[in-house]
Amino acid sequence: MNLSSKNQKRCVIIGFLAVPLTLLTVFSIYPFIQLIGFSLTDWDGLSPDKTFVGLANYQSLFVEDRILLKPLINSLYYFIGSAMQLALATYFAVILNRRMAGANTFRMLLFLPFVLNSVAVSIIFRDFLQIEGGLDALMTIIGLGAYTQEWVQDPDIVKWSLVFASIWRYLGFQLLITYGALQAVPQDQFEAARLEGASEWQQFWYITFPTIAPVLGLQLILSTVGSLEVFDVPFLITGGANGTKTFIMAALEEAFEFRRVGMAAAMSVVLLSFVMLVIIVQRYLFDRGGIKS
Amino acid sequence: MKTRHMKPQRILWNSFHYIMLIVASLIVVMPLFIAFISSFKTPLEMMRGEKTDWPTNLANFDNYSRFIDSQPVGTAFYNTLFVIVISLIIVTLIGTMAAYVIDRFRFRGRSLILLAYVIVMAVPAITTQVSLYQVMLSLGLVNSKWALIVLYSGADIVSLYIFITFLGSISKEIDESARIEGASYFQIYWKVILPLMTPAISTIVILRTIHIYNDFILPYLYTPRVEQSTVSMLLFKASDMMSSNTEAVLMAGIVIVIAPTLVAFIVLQRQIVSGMMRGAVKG
Repeated sequence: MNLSSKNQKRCVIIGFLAVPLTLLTVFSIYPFIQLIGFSLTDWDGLSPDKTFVGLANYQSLFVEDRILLKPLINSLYYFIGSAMQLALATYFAVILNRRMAGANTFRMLLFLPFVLNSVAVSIIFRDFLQIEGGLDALMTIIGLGAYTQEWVQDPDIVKWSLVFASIWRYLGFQLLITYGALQAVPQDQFEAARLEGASEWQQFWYITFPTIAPVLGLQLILSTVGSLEVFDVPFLITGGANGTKTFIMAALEEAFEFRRVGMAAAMSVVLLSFVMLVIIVQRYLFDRGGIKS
Repeated sequence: MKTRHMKPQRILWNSFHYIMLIVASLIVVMPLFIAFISSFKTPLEMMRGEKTDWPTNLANFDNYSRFIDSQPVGTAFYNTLFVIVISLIIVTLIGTMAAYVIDRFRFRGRSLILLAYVIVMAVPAITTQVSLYQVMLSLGLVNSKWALIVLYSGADIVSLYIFITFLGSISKEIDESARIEGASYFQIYWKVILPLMTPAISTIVILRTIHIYNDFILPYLYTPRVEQSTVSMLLFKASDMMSSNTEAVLMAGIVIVIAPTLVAFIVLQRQIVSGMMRGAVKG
């Protein structure tokens, strides 16, 4: 084949982009536009006619019937949880970075839950947190039997139990990312600081922290977004009982159980806006840029 | 660690750190360990004994055979493997092709395409499921494993991003010299670029395999019947069906699902860790 260079170039560009761009349009861009469209209707997901209702869904969401917004408060628990998780992950990453004996084994052990099947670990936790379940048995063994709680049944406690399950699952991942960032900290500075008699805390605060601060900031943003989108862990452990419903669970329930697709779409758009807001703040604070152009 | 000049204070701190690590590791391992030993217990042992009690017979595989007999285990594993393999082939091909064109050519509409990808990447997939479900319905894909395949491959922007970033680090002189030797653009892609992308491809293979194997939301929404679904739905359905006296059977099912991951994790830990690190900071 003897295509001219220009034609050949055009063929490759069109040929190589046709499939990915079609997929992008059909499965990402079109649903995104449709979502906004649906949110302005009272569609039930089945009937052929969709009545345009303007911003009525948003109005009832924010003004008339704020019960649907309530699950958003649960994000706060996960946000607090993810802050604790980041602190713990940073602590473990820092001490594991000191080439202590067994560091690699500990690192892999703590990371393990992240690569396990979502449903499997959630069922394990559902059983573990039951009355007279694994946690209660363990607490009895170490002499804390008097402090066992109704981990999943008590509405005041269950949210923290779910946060605990979530930290259990994701701590190792953050540890890994922070550990990666720590590799960039020059080791000889520690030697020098140690010779000068700097304490552990001083070494962390003046050498380690400034280097890893951008990565920690990024993780904080990602977990903020994450705490808005929580679904798997609470859905599989409690099914949303005892006030543990998250906003995503509520939106999916509206769409697929109560057949209020219009309202569900409006809820999705609200969530999406929050996430976008967080991301814009991130760009503003860190100014990292996306795909380079 | 050198012990020559260790001050008492340092020894104290080190012991504290070790205790913290051991406690954290125990917290990680204990729920898994209890599930594991439960899978060997008889219904009576489950009911009477403590969860932490050792099973009387560690070679009691009754729960395993009961799980395999009562649940479509083979189908779920076959589907999972099928979805992973086909999705990965598609992702690798279209991802590297798109990355090649976007990174190596300058053409009209290029910045528009980049902008579209950046925007879509920022939109969390979970927020568009309400309308995506309607698209899948109208394409007749709901309740088919092809729904999972198109979504795991077609809506995977992060992989594309990793491919573009990786290709950006490969010198363009390699293409140019191949061009001078008379290779067509397609030949350059197929014979030069694709082989050079192997490290990025293996990163994607690891990241996506873990993701697809463990994902719950897409199988839950698009393949509610296990006949067309992955191991996640297998466990979800099984846990719906089981009662408290078949809890140990469910634990056996969980061990069956987790076991391949554990083996892969032990064998490939270095690759998994470095793949995760490369894939994680995407924003």
